[in-house]
Amino acid sequence: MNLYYHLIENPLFFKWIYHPTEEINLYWEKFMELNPEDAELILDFKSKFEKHLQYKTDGLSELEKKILAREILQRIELENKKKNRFRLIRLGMRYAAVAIIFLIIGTGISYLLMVKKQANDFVQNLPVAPSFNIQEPTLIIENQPEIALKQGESELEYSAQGKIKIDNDLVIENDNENSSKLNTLVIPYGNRSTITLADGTKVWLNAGSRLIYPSRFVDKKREIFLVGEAFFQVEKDKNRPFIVKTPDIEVKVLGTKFNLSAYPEDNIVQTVLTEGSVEIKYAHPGIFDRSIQLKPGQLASVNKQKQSTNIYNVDVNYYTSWTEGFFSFSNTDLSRVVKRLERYFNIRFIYDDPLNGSIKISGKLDVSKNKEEVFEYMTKLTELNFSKINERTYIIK
Amino acid sequence: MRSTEKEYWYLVWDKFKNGDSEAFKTIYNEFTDALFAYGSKITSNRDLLKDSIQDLFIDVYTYGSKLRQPELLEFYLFKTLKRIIIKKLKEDQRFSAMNEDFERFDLKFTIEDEVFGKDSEKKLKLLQKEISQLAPASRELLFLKFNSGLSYEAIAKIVGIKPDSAKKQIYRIVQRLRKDMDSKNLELFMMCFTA
Repeated sequence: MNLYYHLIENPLFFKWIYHPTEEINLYWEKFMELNPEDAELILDFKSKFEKHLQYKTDGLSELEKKILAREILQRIELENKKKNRFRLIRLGMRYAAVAIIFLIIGTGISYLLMVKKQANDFVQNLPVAPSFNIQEPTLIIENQPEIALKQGESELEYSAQGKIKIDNDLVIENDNENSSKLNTLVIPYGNRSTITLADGTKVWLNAGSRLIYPSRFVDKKREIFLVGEAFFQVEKDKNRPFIVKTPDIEVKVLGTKFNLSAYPEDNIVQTVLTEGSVEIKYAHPGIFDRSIQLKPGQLASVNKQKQSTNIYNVDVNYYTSWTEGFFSFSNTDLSRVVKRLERYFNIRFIYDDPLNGSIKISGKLDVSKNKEEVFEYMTKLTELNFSKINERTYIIK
Repeated sequence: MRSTEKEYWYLVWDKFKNGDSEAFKTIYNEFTDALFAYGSKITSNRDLLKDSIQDLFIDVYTYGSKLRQPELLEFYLFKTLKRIIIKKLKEDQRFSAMNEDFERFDLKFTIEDEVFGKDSEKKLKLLQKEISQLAPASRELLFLKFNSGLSYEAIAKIVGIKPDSAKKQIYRIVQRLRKDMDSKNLELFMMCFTA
Protein backbone atom coordinates (compact mmCIF):
# COMPACT_ATOMS: atom_id res chain seq x y z
CA MET A 1 0.00 0.00 0.00
CA ASN A 2 2.75 2.38 0.86
CA LEU A 3 4.37 1.74 -2.45
CA TYR A 4 1.38 3.05 -4.39
CA TYR A 5 1.40 6.05 -2.17
CA HIS A 6 5.06 6.65 -2.84
CA LEU A 7 4.63 6.22 -6.53
CA ILE A 8 1.84 8.70 -7.02
CA GLU A 9 3.48 11.20 -4.75
CA ASN A 10 6.69 11.04 -6.71
CA PRO A 11 6.45 13.45 -9.65
CA LEU A 12 9.12 11.42 -11.38
CA PHE A 13 6.70 8.52 -11.61
CA PHE A 14 4.27 10.39 -13.83
CA LYS A 15 7.12 11.96 -15.70
CA TRP A 16 8.35 8.47 -16.43
CA ILE A 17 4.95 7.61 -17.92
CA TYR A 18 4.02 10.81 -19.71
CA HIS A 19 7.28 12.61 -20.43
CA PRO A 20 10.06 10.03 -20.27
CA THR A 21 13.66 10.99 -20.80
CA GLU A 22 16.77 8.86 -20.67
CA GLU A 23 17.59 10.26 -17.26
CA ILE A 24 14.23 9.32 -15.84
CA ASN A 25 14.27 5.85 -17.36
CA LEU A 26 17.66 5.38 -15.75
CA TYR A 27 16.37 6.62 -12.41
CA TRP A 28 13.59 4.02 -12.37
CA GLU A 29 15.84 1.25 -13.61
CA LYS A 30 18.09 2.00 -10.69
CA PHE A 31 15.15 2.21 -8.36
CA MET A 32 13.88 -1.22 -9.37
CA GLU A 33 17.35 -2.65 -9.21
CA LEU A 34 17.55 -1.52 -5.62
CA ASN A 35 14.02 -2.69 -4.82
CA PRO A 36 13.60 -5.83 -6.92
CA GLU A 37 10.65 -7.04 -4.85
CA ASP A 38 8.63 -4.02 -5.99
CA ALA A 39 9.64 -4.07 -9.63
CA GLU A 40 6.71 -6.15 -10.85
CA LEU A 41 4.15 -4.03 -9.14
CA ILE A 42 5.70 -0.79 -10.35
CA LEU A 43 5.80 -1.96 -13.95
CA ASP A 44 2.23 -3.22 -13.75
CA PHE A 45 1.04 0.06 -12.30
CA LYS A 46 2.89 2.01 -14.96
CA SER A 47 1.57 -0.08 -17.82
CA LYS A 48 -1.97 0.45 -16.60
CA PHE A 49 -1.56 4.19 -16.80
CA GLU A 50 -0.08 3.82 -20.24
CA LYS A 51 -2.85 1.59 -21.43
CA HIS A 52 -5.84 3.27 -19.92
CA LEU A 53 -5.00 6.84 -19.10
CA GLN A 54 -3.31 8.09 -22.20
CA TYR A 55 -4.60 11.38 -23.45
CA LYS A 56 -4.16 12.71 -26.94
CA THR A 57 -2.39 15.96 -27.60
CA ASP A 58 -0.90 17.52 -30.66
CA GLY A 59 2.28 18.63 -28.99
CA LEU A 60 4.76 21.10 -30.34
CA SER A 61 7.15 19.71 -32.92
CA GLU A 62 10.85 20.23 -32.26
CA LEU A 63 10.90 22.89 -34.97
CA GLU A 64 7.90 24.73 -33.57
CA LYS A 65 9.50 24.62 -30.17
CA LYS A 66 12.71 26.13 -31.48
CA ILE A 67 10.90 28.86 -33.38
CA LEU A 68 8.80 29.69 -30.36
CA ALA A 69 11.90 29.87 -28.17
CA ARG A 70 13.61 32.18 -30.62
CA GLU A 71 10.60 34.46 -30.73
CA ILE A 72 10.50 34.64 -26.96
CA LEU A 73 14.22 35.42 -26.76
CA GLN A 74 13.77 38.20 -29.30
CA ARG A 75 10.97 39.69 -27.27
CA ILE A 76 13.02 39.40 -24.08
CA GLU A 77 15.82 41.24 -25.81
CA LEU A 78 13.34 43.91 -26.79
CA GLU A 79 12.18 44.13 -23.17
CA ASN A 80 15.78 44.58 -22.11
CA LYS A 81 16.30 47.39 -24.55
CA LYS A 82 13.15 49.03 -23.31
CA LYS A 83 14.32 48.75 -19.72
CA ASN A 84 17.60 50.42 -20.61
CA ARG A 85 16.12 53.46 -22.21
CA PHE A 86 15.63 55.95 -19.47
CA ARG A 87 12.73 57.84 -18.08
CA LEU A 88 12.71 60.27 -20.95
CA ILE A 89 11.50 57.52 -23.22
CA ARG A 90 8.99 56.46 -20.62
CA LEU A 91 7.68 59.99 -20.55
CA GLY A 92 7.58 59.95 -24.31
CA MET A 93 5.70 56.72 -24.25
CA ARG A 94 3.23 58.19 -21.86
CA TYR A 95 2.60 60.96 -24.35
CA ALA A 96 2.26 58.36 -27.04
CA ALA A 97 -0.26 56.54 -24.91
CA VAL A 98 -2.25 59.73 -24.51
CA ALA A 99 -2.06 60.23 -28.23
CA ILE A 100 -3.32 56.73 -28.80
CA ILE A 101 -6.25 57.38 -26.51
CA PHE A 102 -7.09 60.45 -28.51
CA LEU A 103 -6.84 58.37 -31.63
CA ILE A 104 -9.27 55.89 -30.23
CA ILE A 105 -11.69 58.57 -29.08
CA GLY A 106 -11.74 60.18 -32.43
CA THR A 107 -11.94 57.01 -34.44
CA GLY A 108 -13.62 58.66 -37.34
CA ILE A 109 -11.15 61.50 -37.49
CA SER A 110 -8.12 59.36 -36.91
CA TYR A 111 -9.29 56.93 -39.51
CA LEU A 112 -9.42 59.71 -42.02
CA LEU A 113 -5.98 60.90 -41.03
CA MET A 114 -4.76 57.40 -41.61
CA VAL A 115 -6.45 57.24 -44.96
CA LYS A 116 -4.96 60.57 -45.82
CA LYS A 117 -1.50 59.39 -44.94
CA GLN A 118 -1.92 56.25 -46.95
CA ALA A 119 -3.78 57.59 -49.89
CA ASN A 120 -1.66 60.69 -50.21
CA ASP A 121 0.52 59.09 -52.81
CA PHE A 122 -2.14 59.19 -55.42
CA VAL A 123 -4.35 61.95 -54.19
CA GLN A 124 -3.29 65.45 -53.40
CA ASN A 125 -6.45 66.68 -51.79
CA LEU A 126 -8.57 64.47 -49.67
CA PRO A 127 -12.29 64.57 -50.40
CA VAL A 128 -14.81 65.80 -47.94
CA ALA A 129 -14.83 63.51 -44.95
CA PRO A 130 -17.11 60.58 -45.63
CA SER A 131 -19.09 59.66 -42.59
CA PHE A 132 -18.11 56.32 -41.18
CA ASN A 133 -21.39 55.83 -39.49
CA ILE A 134 -22.82 54.99 -42.86
CA GLN A 135 -25.25 52.10 -42.48
CA GLU A 136 -26.26 51.73 -46.13
CA PRO A 137 -24.07 50.81 -49.10
CA THR A 138 -22.83 54.14 -50.36
CA LEU A 139 -20.56 55.50 -53.07
CA ILE A 140 -18.86 58.79 -52.34
CA ILE A 141 -17.18 60.58 -55.20
CA GLU A 142 -14.91 63.46 -54.43
CA ASN A 143 -16.80 66.77 -54.27
CA GLN A 144 -20.12 65.17 -55.11
CA PRO A 145 -23.18 64.21 -53.11
CA GLU A 146 -23.25 60.69 -51.74
CA ILE A 147 -24.89 58.03 -53.88
CA ALA A 148 -26.98 55.40 -52.10
CA LEU A 149 -26.54 51.94 -53.53
CA LYS A 150 -28.81 48.92 -53.56
CA GLN A 151 -29.02 46.86 -50.38
CA GLY A 152 -27.48 43.41 -50.50
CA GLU A 153 -25.44 42.87 -53.64
CA SER A 154 -24.47 45.87 -55.72
CA GLU A 155 -22.39 46.15 -58.84
CA LEU A 156 -20.20 49.00 -60.07
CA GLU A 157 -18.38 49.28 -63.35
CA TYR A 158 -15.86 51.96 -64.32
CA SER A 159 -14.95 52.47 -67.94
CA ALA A 160 -11.44 53.38 -69.05
CA GLN A 161 -12.71 56.95 -69.47
CA GLY A 162 -14.03 57.05 -65.92
CA LYS A 163 -17.74 56.56 -66.62
CA ILE A 164 -19.55 54.72 -63.86
CA LYS A 165 -22.29 52.14 -64.41
CA ILE A 166 -24.20 51.20 -61.29
CA ASP A 167 -26.16 47.94 -61.28
CA ASN A 168 -26.06 47.95 -65.07
CA ASP A 169 -28.14 51.08 -65.61
CA LEU A 170 -27.34 54.35 -63.91
CA VAL A 171 -24.42 55.99 -65.63
CA ILE A 172 -22.38 58.79 -64.16
CA GLU A 173 -20.38 60.74 -66.69
CA ASN A 174 -16.94 62.00 -65.90
CA ASP A 175 -17.09 65.74 -66.67
CA ASN A 176 -13.41 65.97 -67.55
CA GLU A 177 -11.87 63.06 -69.37
CA ASN A 178 -8.38 63.80 -68.15
CA SER A 179 -9.21 64.07 -64.50
CA SER A 180 -9.34 61.33 -61.95
CA LYS A 181 -11.53 61.56 -58.90
CA LEU A 182 -11.22 59.72 -55.65
CA ASN A 183 -14.04 57.26 -55.00
CA THR A 184 -14.90 55.82 -51.61
CA LEU A 185 -17.13 52.79 -51.58
CA VAL A 186 -18.63 51.92 -48.20
CA ILE A 187 -20.20 48.47 -47.91
CA PRO A 188 -21.58 47.90 -44.38
CA TYR A 189 -22.11 44.50 -42.77
CA GLY A 190 -24.81 42.47 -44.44
CA ASN A 191 -23.95 43.78 -47.91
CA ARG A 192 -21.52 42.97 -50.69
CA SER A 193 -20.37 44.61 -53.88
CA THR A 194 -18.53 43.82 -57.10
CA ILE A 195 -16.49 46.59 -58.69
CA THR A 196 -14.80 46.66 -62.06
CA LEU A 197 -12.14 49.33 -61.88
CA ALA A 198 -11.14 51.57 -64.78
CA ASP A 199 -8.18 49.32 -65.66
CA GLY A 200 -10.39 46.21 -65.89
CA THR A 201 -9.41 44.86 -62.45
CA LYS A 202 -12.33 43.18 -60.75
CA VAL A 203 -12.85 43.51 -57.00
CA TRP A 204 -15.31 41.56 -54.85
CA LEU A 205 -15.83 43.65 -51.72
CA ASN A 206 -17.02 41.73 -48.71
CA ALA A 207 -19.33 42.90 -45.91
CA GLY A 208 -18.09 45.58 -43.53
CA SER A 209 -15.47 46.93 -45.94
CA ARG A 210 -14.38 50.19 -47.53
CA LEU A 211 -12.49 50.62 -50.75
CA ILE A 212 -10.89 53.89 -51.83
CA TYR A 213 -9.74 54.14 -55.43
CA PRO A 214 -9.43 56.65 -58.28
CA SER A 215 -12.04 56.71 -61.02
CA ARG A 216 -9.15 56.36 -63.48
CA PHE A 217 -5.58 55.27 -62.91
CA VAL A 218 -3.41 58.12 -64.13
CA ASP A 219 -0.22 57.47 -62.15
CA LYS A 220 2.64 55.06 -62.79
CA LYS A 221 1.29 52.91 -60.03
CA ARG A 222 -2.24 51.66 -59.59
CA GLU A 223 -2.89 52.28 -55.90
CA ILE A 224 -6.03 51.61 -53.94
CA PHE A 225 -6.83 51.50 -50.23
CA LEU A 226 -8.76 48.75 -48.46
CA VAL A 227 -10.24 48.32 -45.01
CA GLY A 228 -12.00 44.98 -44.61
CA GLU A 229 -11.98 42.07 -47.02
CA ALA A 230 -11.83 41.84 -50.79
CA PHE A 231 -10.93 39.39 -53.52
CA PHE A 232 -8.95 40.89 -56.38
CA GLN A 233 -8.65 39.75 -59.96
CA VAL A 234 -6.02 42.18 -61.16
CA GLU A 235 -5.70 43.08 -64.82
CA LYS A 236 -2.15 42.53 -66.09
CA ASP A 237 -0.12 45.65 -66.71
CA LYS A 238 3.61 45.10 -66.50
CA ASN A 239 4.38 48.80 -66.48
CA ARG A 240 1.97 49.80 -63.74
CA PRO A 241 2.08 47.65 -60.63
CA PHE A 242 -1.17 47.32 -58.71
CA ILE A 243 -0.82 48.11 -55.02
CA VAL A 244 -3.43 47.45 -52.37
CA LYS A 245 -2.76 49.37 -49.17
CA THR A 246 -4.20 48.58 -45.79
CA PRO A 247 -3.37 50.24 -42.46
CA ASP A 248 -0.89 47.45 -41.73
CA ILE A 249 0.39 45.99 -44.96
CA GLU A 250 0.81 46.71 -48.64
CA VAL A 251 0.32 44.09 -51.31
CA LYS A 252 2.02 44.71 -54.64
CA VAL A 253 1.08 42.71 -57.73
CA LEU A 254 1.40 42.81 -61.48
CA GLY A 255 -1.51 40.63 -62.56
CA THR A 256 -3.00 37.98 -60.34
CA LYS A 257 -5.90 36.76 -58.23
CA PHE A 258 -5.78 37.05 -54.47
CA ASN A 259 -7.90 37.56 -51.37
CA LEU A 260 -7.04 40.15 -48.75
CA SER A 261 -8.71 40.28 -45.37
CA ALA A 262 -7.81 43.33 -43.28
CA TYR A 263 -10.64 44.04 -40.87
CA PRO A 264 -9.69 46.65 -38.27
CA GLU A 265 -11.11 44.50 -35.47
CA ASP A 266 -9.01 41.46 -36.42
CA ASN A 267 -5.55 41.10 -35.03
CA ILE A 268 -4.30 39.45 -38.19
CA VAL A 269 -4.24 40.50 -41.82
CA GLN A 270 -4.55 37.56 -44.20
CA THR A 271 -3.46 37.47 -47.81
CA VAL A 272 -4.25 34.36 -49.84
CA LEU A 273 -2.90 33.94 -53.33
CA THR A 274 -4.90 32.05 -55.96
CA GLU A 275 -2.84 32.78 -59.04
CA GLY A 276 0.34 34.61 -60.07
CA SER A 277 2.53 36.19 -57.44
CA VAL A 278 2.29 38.98 -54.90
CA GLU A 279 4.72 40.89 -52.74
CA ILE A 280 3.71 41.88 -49.23
CA LYS A 281 5.37 44.44 -47.04
CA TYR A 282 4.50 46.17 -43.80
CA ALA A 283 2.94 49.60 -44.14
CA HIS A 284 5.53 50.94 -41.72
CA PRO A 285 8.50 48.64 -42.15
CA GLY A 286 11.41 48.47 -39.76
CA ILE A 287 14.97 48.40 -41.04
CA PHE A 288 15.14 44.63 -41.08
CA ASP A 289 11.69 43.97 -42.49
CA ARG A 290 11.95 42.52 -45.93
CA SER A 291 9.05 42.04 -48.24
CA ILE A 292 7.40 38.62 -48.48
CA GLN A 293 6.77 36.79 -51.74
CA LEU A 294 3.76 34.51 -51.87
CA LYS A 295 3.26 31.52 -54.13
CA PRO A 296 -0.16 30.36 -55.32
CA GLY A 297 -1.93 28.35 -52.64
CA GLN A 298 -0.16 30.16 -49.82
CA LEU A 299 -1.57 32.27 -47.04
CA ALA A 300 0.40 35.04 -45.37
CA SER A 301 -0.90 35.82 -41.93
CA VAL A 302 0.45 39.10 -40.56
CA ASN A 303 0.12 39.72 -36.85
CA LYS A 304 -0.52 43.44 -36.45
CA GLN A 305 0.75 43.82 -32.92
CA LYS A 306 3.91 41.82 -33.26
CA GLN A 307 4.55 42.67 -36.89
CA SER A 308 5.35 39.05 -37.52
CA THR A 309 4.25 36.95 -40.46
CA ASN A 310 3.50 33.27 -40.86
CA ILE A 311 3.15 31.56 -44.21
CA TYR A 312 0.88 28.54 -44.58
CA ASN A 313 -0.09 26.31 -47.48
CA VAL A 314 -3.87 26.35 -47.63
CA ASP A 315 -6.88 25.36 -49.66
CA VAL A 316 -7.60 28.71 -51.32
CA ASN A 317 -11.25 27.86 -51.88
CA TYR A 318 -11.86 28.28 -48.21
CA TYR A 319 -10.76 31.90 -48.42
CA THR A 320 -12.32 32.87 -51.72
CA SER A 321 -15.60 30.94 -51.89
CA TRP A 322 -17.48 33.88 -50.31
CA THR A 323 -17.31 35.60 -53.70
CA GLU A 324 -19.54 32.83 -55.07
CA GLY A 325 -22.05 33.01 -52.24
CA PHE A 326 -20.89 30.14 -50.08
CA PHE A 327 -18.41 29.56 -47.28
CA SER A 328 -16.36 26.42 -47.19
CA PHE A 329 -14.70 25.14 -44.07
CA SER A 330 -12.44 22.29 -43.20
CA ASN A 331 -11.83 21.56 -39.57
CA THR A 332 -12.42 25.20 -38.72
CA ASP A 333 -13.27 26.58 -35.28
CA LEU A 334 -16.94 27.47 -34.99
CA SER A 335 -15.93 30.88 -33.62
CA ARG A 336 -14.30 31.78 -36.95
CA VAL A 337 -17.31 30.65 -38.92
CA VAL A 338 -19.58 32.60 -36.62
CA LYS A 339 -17.50 35.73 -37.05
CA ARG A 340 -17.84 35.49 -40.80
CA LEU A 341 -21.58 34.93 -40.52
CA GLU A 342 -21.87 37.98 -38.27
CA ARG A 343 -20.28 40.13 -40.93
CA TYR A 344 -22.16 38.57 -43.76
CA PHE A 345 -25.60 39.00 -42.22
CA ASN A 346 -24.84 42.02 -40.04
CA ILE A 347 -25.92 40.32 -36.84
CA ARG A 348 -24.35 39.36 -33.54
CA PHE A 349 -24.04 35.99 -31.93
CA ILE A 350 -23.87 35.32 -28.22
CA TYR A 351 -22.54 32.03 -26.98
CA ASP A 352 -24.48 30.33 -24.25
CA ASP A 353 -21.33 28.32 -23.61
CA PRO A 354 -18.34 30.23 -25.00
CA LEU A 355 -16.27 27.08 -25.24
CA ASN A 356 -18.54 25.88 -28.02
CA GLY A 357 -16.59 28.35 -30.12
CA SER A 358 -13.81 25.82 -30.40
CA ILE A 359 -15.98 23.10 -31.94
CA LYS A 360 -14.48 22.08 -35.28
CA ILE A 361 -16.70 22.07 -38.31
CA SER A 362 -16.22 21.12 -41.93
CA GLY A 363 -18.43 21.60 -44.94
CA LYS A 364 -19.94 24.07 -47.35
CA LEU A 365 -22.44 26.70 -46.35
CA ASP A 366 -24.69 28.29 -48.97
CA VAL A 367 -24.99 31.83 -47.65
CA SER A 368 -26.98 33.09 -50.61
CA LYS A 369 -30.07 31.69 -48.88
CA ASN A 370 -31.78 33.60 -46.09
CA LYS A 371 -30.26 33.52 -42.64
CA GLU A 372 -32.85 31.23 -41.08
CA GLU A 373 -32.06 28.55 -43.64
CA VAL A 374 -28.36 29.01 -43.12
CA PHE A 375 -28.71 28.72 -39.34
CA GLU A 376 -30.87 25.65 -39.73
CA TYR A 377 -28.05 24.06 -41.65
CA MET A 378 -25.56 25.20 -39.01
CA THR A 379 -27.73 23.52 -36.39
CA LYS A 380 -27.48 20.24 -38.28
CA LEU A 381 -23.75 20.64 -38.61
CA THR A 382 -23.00 21.51 -35.00
CA GLU A 383 -25.96 20.12 -33.07
CA LEU A 384 -26.22 23.53 -31.45
CA ASN A 385 -29.27 25.76 -31.58
CA PHE A 386 -29.01 29.11 -33.32
CA SER A 387 -32.00 30.96 -31.98
CA LYS A 388 -33.12 34.52 -32.41
CA ILE A 389 -33.21 36.93 -29.47
CA ASN A 390 -34.02 39.99 -31.51
CA GLU A 391 -33.62 41.29 -35.05
CA ARG A 392 -29.86 41.59 -34.77
CA THR A 393 -28.93 39.16 -32.05
CA TYR A 394 -28.82 35.40 -32.00
CA ILE A 395 -27.82 32.97 -29.30
CA ILE A 396 -25.89 29.73 -29.82
CA LYS A 397 -26.96 27.04 -27.40
CA MET B 1 11.62 19.10 -4.53
CA ARG B 2 14.86 17.75 -3.22
CA SER B 3 17.26 20.28 -1.74
CA THR B 4 19.86 20.05 -4.49
CA GLU B 5 17.16 20.52 -7.07
CA LYS B 6 15.87 23.48 -5.13
CA GLU B 7 19.28 25.11 -5.12
CA TYR B 8 19.59 24.41 -8.79
CA TRP B 9 16.35 26.20 -9.62
CA TYR B 10 17.29 29.12 -7.40
CA LEU B 11 20.38 29.50 -9.52
CA VAL B 12 18.57 29.12 -12.83
CA TRP B 13 15.89 31.54 -11.73
CA ASP B 14 18.42 34.12 -10.63
CA LYS B 15 20.19 33.90 -13.96
CA PHE B 16 16.96 34.09 -15.92
CA LYS B 17 15.91 37.27 -14.13
CA ASN B 18 19.20 38.81 -15.15
CA GLY B 19 18.51 38.09 -18.77
CA ASP B 20 20.64 34.97 -19.17
CA SER B 21 19.39 33.20 -22.28
CA GLU B 22 20.82 29.85 -21.21
CA ALA B 23 18.74 30.03 -18.06
CA PHE B 24 15.72 30.80 -20.16
CA LYS B 25 16.42 27.74 -22.31
CA THR B 26 16.67 25.57 -19.22
CA ILE B 27 13.30 26.73 -17.95
CA TYR B 28 11.81 26.59 -21.42
CA ASN B 29 12.99 23.04 -22.10
CA GLU B 30 11.85 21.86 -18.73
CA PHE B 31 8.31 23.16 -18.87
CA THR B 32 7.19 24.06 -22.38
CA ASP B 33 5.90 20.65 -23.44
CA ALA B 34 3.84 20.26 -20.31
CA LEU B 35 2.58 23.84 -20.53
CA PHE B 36 1.62 23.37 -24.15
CA ALA B 37 -0.15 20.12 -23.38
CA TYR B 38 -1.98 21.82 -20.52
CA GLY B 39 -2.95 24.79 -22.67
CA SER B 40 -4.16 22.54 -25.47
CA LYS B 41 -6.73 21.20 -23.05
CA ILE B 42 -8.13 24.68 -22.57
CA THR B 43 -8.07 25.82 -26.19
CA SER B 44 -7.67 23.98 -29.45
CA ASN B 45 -6.37 27.13 -31.11
CA ARG B 46 -2.65 26.41 -31.53
CA ASP B 47 -1.73 29.90 -32.63
CA LEU B 48 -3.46 31.42 -29.65
CA LEU B 49 -1.69 28.93 -27.45
CA LYS B 50 1.74 29.67 -28.90
CA ASP B 51 1.11 33.37 -28.45
CA SER B 52 0.05 32.71 -24.88
CA ILE B 53 3.26 30.82 -24.15
CA GLN B 54 5.24 33.71 -25.58
CA ASP B 55 3.33 36.14 -23.42
CA LEU B 56 3.81 33.85 -20.45
CA PHE B 57 7.59 33.95 -20.64
CA ILE B 58 7.60 37.69 -21.25
CA ASP B 59 5.27 38.08 -18.29
CA VAL B 60 7.46 35.87 -16.12
CA TYR B 61 10.52 37.74 -17.24
CA THR B 62 9.01 41.17 -16.68
CA TYR B 63 7.12 40.59 -13.46
CA GLY B 64 8.89 37.48 -12.24
CA SER B 65 11.01 39.37 -9.72
CA LYS B 66 7.95 39.20 -7.50
CA LEU B 67 8.44 35.47 -7.37
CA ARG B 68 10.48 35.10 -4.21
CA GLN B 69 10.34 31.33 -4.04
CA PRO B 70 11.59 29.72 -7.22
CA GLU B 71 10.34 26.38 -5.98
CA LEU B 72 6.93 27.75 -6.86
CA LEU B 73 8.05 28.45 -10.42
CA GLU B 74 6.11 25.56 -11.91
CA PHE B 75 2.95 26.60 -10.12
CA TYR B 76 3.47 30.18 -11.22
CA LEU B 77 3.91 29.10 -14.86
CA PHE B 78 0.78 26.96 -15.01
CA LYS B 79 -1.35 29.49 -13.20
CA THR B 80 -0.15 32.41 -15.29
CA LEU B 81 -0.57 30.48 -18.54
CA LYS B 82 -4.15 29.66 -17.65
CA ARG B 83 -4.85 33.30 -16.90
CA ILE B 84 -3.29 34.46 -20.18
CA ILE B 85 -5.18 31.91 -22.28
CA ILE B 86 -8.48 32.78 -20.69
CA LYS B 87 -7.82 36.46 -21.21
CA LYS B 88 -7.03 35.86 -24.87
CA LEU B 89 -10.09 33.68 -25.32
CA LYS B 90 -12.20 36.43 -23.83
CA GLU B 91 -10.74 38.98 -26.22
CA ASP B 92 -11.12 36.64 -29.15
CA GLN B 93 -14.63 35.51 -28.63
CA ARG B 94 -15.98 38.58 -26.90
CA PHE B 95 -17.21 36.59 -23.97
CA SER B 96 -19.91 38.78 -22.65
CA ALA B 97 -20.71 36.94 -19.48
CA MET B 98 -17.81 34.85 -18.34
CA ASN B 99 -18.32 32.59 -15.46
CA GLU B 100 -15.69 30.94 -13.40
CA ASP B 101 -16.33 27.39 -14.40
CA PHE B 102 -16.28 27.78 -18.14
CA GLU B 103 -13.14 25.71 -18.69
CA ARG B 104 -14.24 22.52 -20.20
CA PHE B 105 -10.85 20.87 -19.85
CA ASP B 106 -11.49 18.34 -22.45
CA LEU B 107 -9.28 15.57 -21.19
CA LYS B 108 -9.68 12.57 -23.42
CA PHE B 109 -8.60 9.32 -21.95
CA THR B 110 -8.53 6.42 -24.31
CA ILE B 111 -9.59 3.25 -22.73
CA GLU B 112 -8.71 0.44 -25.04
CA ASP B 113 -11.04 -2.41 -25.70
CA GLU B 114 -9.09 -5.39 -24.67
CA VAL B 115 -9.94 -8.70 -23.24
CA PHE B 116 -9.46 -8.54 -19.53
CA GLY B 117 -9.92 -11.04 -16.80
CA LYS B 118 -13.35 -10.68 -15.27
CA ASP B 119 -12.18 -8.87 -12.22
CA SER B 120 -10.04 -6.28 -13.88
CA GLU B 121 -12.60 -5.84 -16.61
CA LYS B 122 -15.11 -4.79 -14.05
CA LYS B 123 -12.70 -2.38 -12.43
CA LEU B 124 -11.77 -0.79 -15.71
CA LYS B 125 -15.39 -0.41 -16.69
CA LEU B 126 -15.84 1.47 -13.47
CA LEU B 127 -12.84 3.61 -14.25
CA GLN B 128 -14.13 4.32 -17.71
CA LYS B 129 -17.48 5.30 -16.33
CA GLU B 130 -15.96 7.41 -13.66
CA ILE B 131 -13.74 9.34 -16.04
CA SER B 132 -16.54 9.97 -18.49
CA GLN B 133 -18.59 11.44 -15.69
CA LEU B 134 -15.87 13.64 -14.26
CA ALA B 135 -16.46 17.36 -14.08
CA PRO B 136 -14.09 19.53 -16.14
CA ALA B 137 -12.34 20.66 -12.98
CA SER B 138 -11.61 17.06 -12.04
CA ARG B 139 -10.22 16.31 -15.45
CA GLU B 140 -7.99 19.35 -15.17
CA LEU B 141 -6.90 18.14 -11.79
CA LEU B 142 -5.90 14.73 -13.10
CA PHE B 143 -4.09 16.30 -15.96
CA LEU B 144 -2.03 18.51 -13.68
CA LYS B 145 -1.25 15.64 -11.38
CA PHE B 146 0.01 13.49 -14.23
CA ASN B 147 1.88 16.21 -16.05
CA SER B 148 3.54 18.29 -13.41
CA GLY B 149 5.36 18.00 -10.17
CA LEU B 150 2.87 20.28 -8.48
CA SER B 151 1.67 19.71 -4.96
CA TYR B 152 -1.99 19.05 -4.22
CA GLU B 153 -2.19 22.49 -2.74
CA ALA B 154 -0.83 24.11 -5.89
CA ILE B 155 -3.04 22.04 -8.17
CA ALA B 156 -6.09 22.88 -6.10
CA LYS B 157 -5.23 26.58 -6.34
CA ILE B 158 -4.92 26.46 -10.12
CA VAL B 159 -8.11 24.48 -10.60
CA GLY B 160 -9.93 26.38 -7.89
CA ILE B 161 -10.96 23.57 -5.58
CA LYS B 162 -10.13 22.42 -2.05
CA PRO B 163 -6.79 20.63 -1.61
CA ASP B 164 -8.57 17.81 0.19
CA SER B 165 -10.84 17.02 -2.67
CA ALA B 166 -7.91 17.19 -5.09
CA LYS B 167 -6.21 14.40 -3.23
CA LYS B 168 -9.38 12.37 -2.89
CA GLN B 169 -10.15 12.44 -6.56
CA ILE B 170 -6.65 11.47 -7.59
CA TYR B 171 -6.72 8.51 -5.27
CA ARG B 172 -10.09 7.38 -6.48
CA ILE B 173 -8.79 7.09 -10.01
CA VAL B 174 -5.51 5.56 -9.03
CA GLN B 175 -7.45 3.07 -6.97
CA ARG B 176 -9.00 1.60 -10.08
CA LEU B 177 -5.63 0.87 -11.54
CA ARG B 178 -4.30 -1.00 -8.55
CA LYS B 179 -3.58 -4.65 -8.65
CA ASP B 180 -6.00 -6.96 -6.88
CA MET B 181 -7.93 -4.45 -4.94
CA ASP B 182 -11.42 -5.23 -3.85
CA SER B 183 -14.07 -2.76 -2.89
CA LYS B 184 -13.63 -3.27 0.82
CA ASN B 185 -10.07 -2.21 0.66
CA LEU B 186 -11.03 0.81 -1.32
CA GLU B 187 -12.64 2.49 1.64
CA LEU B 188 -9.70 1.73 3.83
CA PHE B 189 -7.40 2.99 1.19
CA MET B 190 -9.33 6.20 0.83
CA MET B 191 -9.32 6.78 4.53
CA CYS B 192 -5.60 6.38 4.72
CA PHE B 193 -4.95 9.23 2.38
CA THR B 194 -7.78 11.59 2.87
CA ALA B 195 -7.62 11.80 6.60
